[in-house]
Amino acid sequence: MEKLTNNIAEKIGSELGLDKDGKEVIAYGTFAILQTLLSIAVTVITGYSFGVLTETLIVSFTIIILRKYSGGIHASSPGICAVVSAVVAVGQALLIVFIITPLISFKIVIILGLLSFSWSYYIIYKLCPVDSAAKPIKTIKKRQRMKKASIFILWVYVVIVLLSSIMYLHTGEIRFLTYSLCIYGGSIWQSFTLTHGGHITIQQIDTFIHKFLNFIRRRK
Amino acid sequence: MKKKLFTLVAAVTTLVAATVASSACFWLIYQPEEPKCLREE
Repeated sequence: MEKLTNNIAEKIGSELGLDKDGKEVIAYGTFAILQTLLSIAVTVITGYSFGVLTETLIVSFTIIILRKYSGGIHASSPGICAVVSAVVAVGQALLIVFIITPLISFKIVIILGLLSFSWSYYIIYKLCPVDSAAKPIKTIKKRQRMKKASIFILWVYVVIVLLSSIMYLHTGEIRFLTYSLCIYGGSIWQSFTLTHGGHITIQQIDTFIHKFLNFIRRRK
Repeated sequence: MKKKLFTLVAAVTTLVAATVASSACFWLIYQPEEPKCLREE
């Protein structure tokens, strides 16, 4: 995908007479758009296929919005990224819809909320932002800005869960509890990717997918 | 016409790149090399 975006940027840059920096910015922006579309497509198709599209989207967007400011470990390629993201979001949605929701009561949802938000808050306060070699965060000002934004987003999630709980009490519809659980799941997963354990887990999944793809290629 | 289209694409992609640059990381869990001119040094 990077090759494709570089070719697009080279073509546009040459046509418009842009310098190296201009072409790099276009390539980066094009890559962002293509990867976003790829990830959304893979997640939506997988979520829809399993009949848990709404829950998958709630988990995904909870992760994505928090991730924009808190950072975290990265996969080695955009394809692996799209697959891991879809598996995590759909896996959580399936677990919540078919296993956790039927067994749970309103009180337990509230207790789980307190536990998951407390843990996420602690991890974000302690570790956020987690940057990478490809996109280092060098200034203290930006680090502080990212941490504040992450904590603010976490509070927005708390408000959404409270509204969802009020809706449940008002209507009695269980789906509002499911939505709250999806937000907990997304927050916990994103906070987990900031930790050392999260880094090791994603690296192992990444290595496994690489080995699996190499195995398939060799058999062909 | 072709030049207008390229200018539009360049403007949109630059806007997206600048938006992504203001965040801690890229979309989900893959991060390509960020252009040096977008970094906050």
